[in-house]
Amino acid sequence: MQRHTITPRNNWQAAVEKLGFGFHTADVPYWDENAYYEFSLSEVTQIETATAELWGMCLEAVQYVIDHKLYHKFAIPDRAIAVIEKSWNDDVPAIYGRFDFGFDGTALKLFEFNADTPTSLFEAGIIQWFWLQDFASHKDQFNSVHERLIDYWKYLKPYLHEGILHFTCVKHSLEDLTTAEYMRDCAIQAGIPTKLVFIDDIGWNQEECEFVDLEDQEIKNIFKLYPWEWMVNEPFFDQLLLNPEVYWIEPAWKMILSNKAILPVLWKLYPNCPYVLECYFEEENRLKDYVKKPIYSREGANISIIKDGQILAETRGIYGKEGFICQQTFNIPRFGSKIPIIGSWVIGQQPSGMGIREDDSLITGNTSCFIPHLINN
Amino acid sequence: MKKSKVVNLVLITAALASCSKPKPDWDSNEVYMRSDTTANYTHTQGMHLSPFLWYYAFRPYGMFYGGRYHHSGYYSSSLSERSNIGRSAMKGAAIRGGFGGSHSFSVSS
Repeated sequence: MQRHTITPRNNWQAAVEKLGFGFHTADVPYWDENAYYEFSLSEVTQIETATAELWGMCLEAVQYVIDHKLYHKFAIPDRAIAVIEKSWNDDVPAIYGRFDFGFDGTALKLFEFNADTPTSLFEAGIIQWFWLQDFASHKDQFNSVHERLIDYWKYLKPYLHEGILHFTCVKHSLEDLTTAEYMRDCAIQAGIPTKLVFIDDIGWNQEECEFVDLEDQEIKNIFKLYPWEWMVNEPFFDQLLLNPEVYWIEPAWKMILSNKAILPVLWKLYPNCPYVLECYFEEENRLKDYVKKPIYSREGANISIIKDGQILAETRGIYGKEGFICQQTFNIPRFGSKIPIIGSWVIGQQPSGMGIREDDSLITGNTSCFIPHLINN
Repeated sequence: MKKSKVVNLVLITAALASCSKPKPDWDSNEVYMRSDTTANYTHTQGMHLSPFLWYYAFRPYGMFYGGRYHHSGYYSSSLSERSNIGRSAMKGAAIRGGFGGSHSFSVSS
């Protein structure tokens, strides 16, 4: 893995906006093509293999959590358990997830799994691919995101309830809208009829006991870019319990995998796995050098790095009341001042590509930049 | 590993290329609303919007009968239920705003 500094394409902003990428720059640049990462084929194969193996291990871990009723360790409320178990037993369609890895050129270690509402999908699948066509079209990229999404929607089509597949996200985030619309784009290409409804416009028809969109059309299948851990605390969760036949995608069992409490479970089940870092719930922690993470946390919030009992770095935020896990530290080499994290996608049970985010900080947050990559054979 | 050379987008380019991030244009005027004469007035929940955005924040619903449009309520989570429901027999059967109230700008993860 190497980092190369390059000159961005002339007027690259117009090029990416033409693709529908409207959030390339926020307060700070997010899409950054002043550099790219180069991987060897064997490195990419290593990432691909790890992604496939970890996905299988994660499914085993979900079964373990359900079998042993470990929901309290995940701060999952009792009233959500039936929904989780039904979605697992019914094999409700699930589409995607993103493993975040640290890589030192030899060892590849799992930091977390974004299993419920992972973003940066559009950047990984589309934007960096078209960047490669302009920059070095003769090179390859670990990227079959787009094809896999379309293929998997095609595969799932017969398993959905008949009718419309709705898509939903929050109203005021272009990033979220882009991710949801990109996913809808792929479903349309798979031949599925779709509609967009913003999450707060979803209605509940009390007479028919069904969720409806703004045209009062029944919602039977819905892809949500909206976290389960929020939904369980919102008023309509009571209504959701009244109509358990709706396919919410990602399904409710992703509440187990998207929770950082899955990390000590993975360590307990697979202590010899080369990809899993030693990890404990805070009350059982025996590590001296570790990263303390809230079991619910987004964008790198409320994370502390502790070395010999001293706080090396920490971030603020609103999370932590549900508890913490402690994960062994892993040193990622810096490239200049930059520290890269690999986001490896699993789509339809298969490793499907990756995106790199980098930061000057040891903790990847919402200001980290997305950097394209290529494979040099 | 290599993806196909042709990558098509049927929806997203057209839908999003001209899309700008919506930013509420805050207005300091206090606003109290009710959906009909049988509902209570309540202060709207922090949504002091310009007239331009008013329609999007408070989309009305209702129906025509007897040659007149009868307003039944608003598709809005910014209006409390007691001011949106009232006792009008014309109310639609759907209530809205039961999801999405976690007030986060983005779910990014």
